Amino acid sequence: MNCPRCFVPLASAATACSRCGFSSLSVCQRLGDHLVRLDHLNDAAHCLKQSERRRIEGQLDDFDRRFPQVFLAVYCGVLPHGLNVSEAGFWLLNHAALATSDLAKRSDFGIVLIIDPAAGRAAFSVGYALENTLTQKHLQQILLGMKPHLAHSNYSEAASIAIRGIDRTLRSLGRSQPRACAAAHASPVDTDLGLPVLRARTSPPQTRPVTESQHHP
Amino acid sequence: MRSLVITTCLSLSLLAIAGHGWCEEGIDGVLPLPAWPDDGPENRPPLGGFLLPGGLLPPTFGSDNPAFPPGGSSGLNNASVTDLSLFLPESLLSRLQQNTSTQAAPTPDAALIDVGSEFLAEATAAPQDAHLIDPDHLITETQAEDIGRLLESHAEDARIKAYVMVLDRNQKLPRGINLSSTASGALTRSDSCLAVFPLGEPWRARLFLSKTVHDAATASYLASLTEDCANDAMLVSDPIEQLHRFSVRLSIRLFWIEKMMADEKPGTQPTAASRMLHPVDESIFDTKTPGLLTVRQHSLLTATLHAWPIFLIIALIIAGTILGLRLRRIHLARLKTHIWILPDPPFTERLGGAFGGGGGASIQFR
Repeated sequence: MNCPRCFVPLASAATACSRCGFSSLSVCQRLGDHLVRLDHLNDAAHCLKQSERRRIEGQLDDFDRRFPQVFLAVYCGVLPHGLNVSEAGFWLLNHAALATSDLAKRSDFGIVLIIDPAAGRAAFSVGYALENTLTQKHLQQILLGMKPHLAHSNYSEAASIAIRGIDRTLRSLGRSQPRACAAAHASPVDTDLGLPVLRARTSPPQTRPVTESQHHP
Repeated sequence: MRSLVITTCLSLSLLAIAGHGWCEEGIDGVLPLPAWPDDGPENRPPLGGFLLPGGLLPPTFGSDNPAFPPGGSSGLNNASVTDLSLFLPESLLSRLQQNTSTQAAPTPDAALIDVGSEFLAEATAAPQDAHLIDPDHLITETQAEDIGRLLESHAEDARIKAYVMVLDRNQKLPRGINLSSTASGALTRSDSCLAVFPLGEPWRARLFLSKTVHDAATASYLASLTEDCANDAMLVSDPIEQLHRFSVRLSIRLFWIEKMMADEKPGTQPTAASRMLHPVDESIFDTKTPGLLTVRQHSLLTATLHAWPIFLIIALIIAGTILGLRLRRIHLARLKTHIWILPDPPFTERLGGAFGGGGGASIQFR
């Protein structure tokens, strides 16, 4: 894994980047430590037409049904000066409240695609659970497939390629089973109280004082 | 000097004017002008100084052309044909007219007659060096020499000698005939190929080969050889030209067979028994069916035999397409009815991130 800011390789349990000192703390000082609602498609830059939005949302819904654990979000927005797309992806992944009714979704199975039309950069940020599945090589190939469309400001087609690419990669690495079995898998009753477990593992967000000006719009 | 010349000219002119009446009467009486008989426009001679024979005249010549008298084009053609006929024998003229009139129509099977015993005797008695065997003398001497030279030239260079026996268009060989003694038995002295060629009907041509040659190639190859020669001959309409093209093509293909023989059996010496002539795939040349029909069946048969790999490929493509569509349908249905469960490996947090620690990739696209 690489540092989101300076892209140097990181040690397996590094608390901060040894080169630039990047950590969750440093990025939270810039963007805040609050949770944000993250939809499947977030077009803050308004670079997508309505029809394109519908098409991408349809694709994301299909993806959502196909992979009950995974949450894929596409964010198109102009980032604040001095913040690159990887840093924003890191922050979003760790501070996003997933806008889904499916309780099986977990943030560590999250994938965030961030496109900054102004900076001309795009990045994938993936959760811990998918780091071994969606390797940097896989993601780089998908990004290269998107590059011509991004260069021509065809963001909807780029997003479609990204969704299809991730879908194909995950299908090749995952284990398929009929949808009927999925319900049992998604909500296993393994407590004495007879209540389903929402998330296998959750980590309470760290509380940090942030000012209003540091909030991303 | 000039004034003297002018004066002389003037005086001569005056004399001529004064004696005009006398001169007119006198000359007409002594040298009368020729008188043309007015017996219709069709007998008027062509104007314009044309010396071309009738066959070379372009068809656009007609009454509109100012070089011809009105309505005189037919007269011109008649005159030209008449002129040419003066130099050609009647038999040739009648044969040419017959050939051109019945060129396209194949001879019906019922009209085909077996060649007579005189024909066969003549063919047998043909000299050994005669590569063109024309017992009925259907080809003129010049044309026969032309084709004969071609076949002799082939014989000088080739191991398989080519012989051509010419039949008339309504003639055919009797069934089961043995042609080994043709040309005084010259065909059995070396590897030979005898083509029996009905004039004007190349599709009825038959090949007889020495056994060694016959065995060197497959039946389908030999059938295709015959078909190739016949097809090449049918590119032209003149029977003699067809025979010429057939002979040229046959010569080329015999060289190919020779090469096949050299590749397969180097150094094999043919025996006398192996030089008996064998007909090529006689079932294809069924004389009970009309000639044209035979060609069509032949073409269809060989085309079918040769095209089976294409049919196989097309069938495989169709089957592959159907299978692909089927698999795609299954795949799409599976996408709707199945889910994919990913492994849930243990992990350690990095950079203080609860759910992600720098995993991913980025790209600069502008």
